[in-house]
Amino acid sequence: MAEESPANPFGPIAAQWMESWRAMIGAGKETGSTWSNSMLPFIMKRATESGFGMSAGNDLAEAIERMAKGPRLADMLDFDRKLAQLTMAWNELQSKLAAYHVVAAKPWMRAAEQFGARTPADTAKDAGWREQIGAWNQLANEELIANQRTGEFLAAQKDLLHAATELRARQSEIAEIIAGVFGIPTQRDFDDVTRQLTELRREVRALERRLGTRGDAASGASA
Amino acid sequence: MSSGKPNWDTAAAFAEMTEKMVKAGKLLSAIKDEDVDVGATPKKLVMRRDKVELFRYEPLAAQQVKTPVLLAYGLIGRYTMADLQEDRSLVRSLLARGLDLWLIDWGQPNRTERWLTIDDYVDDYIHAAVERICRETGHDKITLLGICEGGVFMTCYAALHPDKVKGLVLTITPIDFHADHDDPDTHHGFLNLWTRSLERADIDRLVDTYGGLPGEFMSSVFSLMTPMRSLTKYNVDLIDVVDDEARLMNFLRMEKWLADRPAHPGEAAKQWLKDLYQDNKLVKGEFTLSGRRVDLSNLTAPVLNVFALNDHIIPPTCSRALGAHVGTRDYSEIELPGGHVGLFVSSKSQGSLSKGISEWLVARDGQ
Repeated sequence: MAEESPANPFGPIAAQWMESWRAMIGAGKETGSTWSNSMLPFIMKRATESGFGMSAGNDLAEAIERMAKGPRLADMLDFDRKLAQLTMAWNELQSKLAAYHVVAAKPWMRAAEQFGARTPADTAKDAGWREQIGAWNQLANEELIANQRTGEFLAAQKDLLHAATELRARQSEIAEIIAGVFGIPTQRDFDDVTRQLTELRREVRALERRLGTRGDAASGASA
Repeated sequence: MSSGKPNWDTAAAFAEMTEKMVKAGKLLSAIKDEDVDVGATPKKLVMRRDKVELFRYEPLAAQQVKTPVLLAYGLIGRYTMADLQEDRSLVRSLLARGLDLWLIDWGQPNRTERWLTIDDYVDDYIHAAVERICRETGHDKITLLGICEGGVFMTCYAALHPDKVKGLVLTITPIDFHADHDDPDTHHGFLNLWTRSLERADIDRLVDTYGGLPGEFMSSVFSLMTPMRSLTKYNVDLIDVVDDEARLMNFLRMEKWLADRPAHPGEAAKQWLKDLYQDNKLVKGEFTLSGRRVDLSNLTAPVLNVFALNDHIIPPTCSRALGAHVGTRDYSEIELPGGHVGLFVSSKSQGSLSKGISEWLVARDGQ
């Protein structure tokens, strides 16, 4: 059932203005989402590279020129898109972090309640500061461990991990674009090389075993 | 509310703490990194394969066990836990009991090792080490001694290459990764629970993004398991040890070991977390390495399984499960008090672990 919205205390004109503003923000979000998730940036990049069909047809010369000059309009749009995704990932991480803190704070509050509700006899028993800290530690430890095993905590930390990894992946994308502009090998390039190296080693060692040679003898070292 | 009178007890305690903190600061600034030596028992480099090194420890006593013993730690942390300091060292204790002890050190894996799998660790690095030891010593079989994940690697090797294994000694080794359900202690098994809570796609994404399982990330997961201990370590605990040089150095060596946590190689981490922790393939007989199924009933050599009763990282039930799956009748267990790390580094456990292992080895050496 829809709830009836309360009358705007600033009057009907202000209410109409605020509604328009909300609608505009909603439309802006939708546009941003469409831009970020669609093929639009990709097609824009392709179209810009071909001069939107208006170029003189000297593709090779243009390609060479582009390689020398670096990013053009469409590349910058793509970079913008990735920056927007990075910002979204950062926002998402903040939101998951806040949700995690809410769940993680609960055992502290429970422990504080229990610590405050101790009987005078218990308080007298833990008179010194070390005893006080010991009693607090024991209570808090039990509550924290119990909380960590709850579905709520596990879900919150899983979401947090997911968001943090996503942010890192988006940061890597930005780094790759910048590295690509300056011709610096990227992490992806490094992973490709190490993958080939690992596979090559496996092949060589499998061959050595088939031939009955001892690969480790060559690489063996004596201290 | 304050009564207006000064609380002299509290003031005195505060003054004492402040004094100790100042003293701790002065002491710590005077201790150099090289003063805090871990893994210092003398050993000789015999073979290097990529970043993996095979060492042979120098003997400390007349040889009592002829069969060489190869020690391997896991890829989460370093082997130095087994050789923390002179009076807290499984390595030294075993050497003192006359073992011919060898060590595989996995080195410091980073993104370069992203594509290495457990297949590589078992069928290449361990296999090459075993062959080298056999050539150096003239034996055709050796004894394997695995710690934690290293124990899983050794178990897989022994099941896939039974002709090369005279005996298998496992310490704090998970075999049934879902047996934490059988452990009633709620302080145990968080790692199992946490890993099962992860989405498989998130594990892939994490490993692909970082190129491995970051060491500091795993450290934070371990810290969660003992939350208050992690919070009081650098204040209350440090103050407690600062008056005692031996305890302070022990504290610093532990810290050095904890900080020395390289990234777990990526593809191997995916196998570890998904195939083993999530799918429990080892105990189901579904875990494959190099295209071959790891069948635990192929463990026909004698097996000694050592675990810690208060192990919060690897619940004892996860280790004990091996007994139901081995193919040998010569299967023994030693359960010791203490925790995952305490088994190796606490003053209380020194002696009992090495005694149990060496007596078991001596009894089977001539067979």
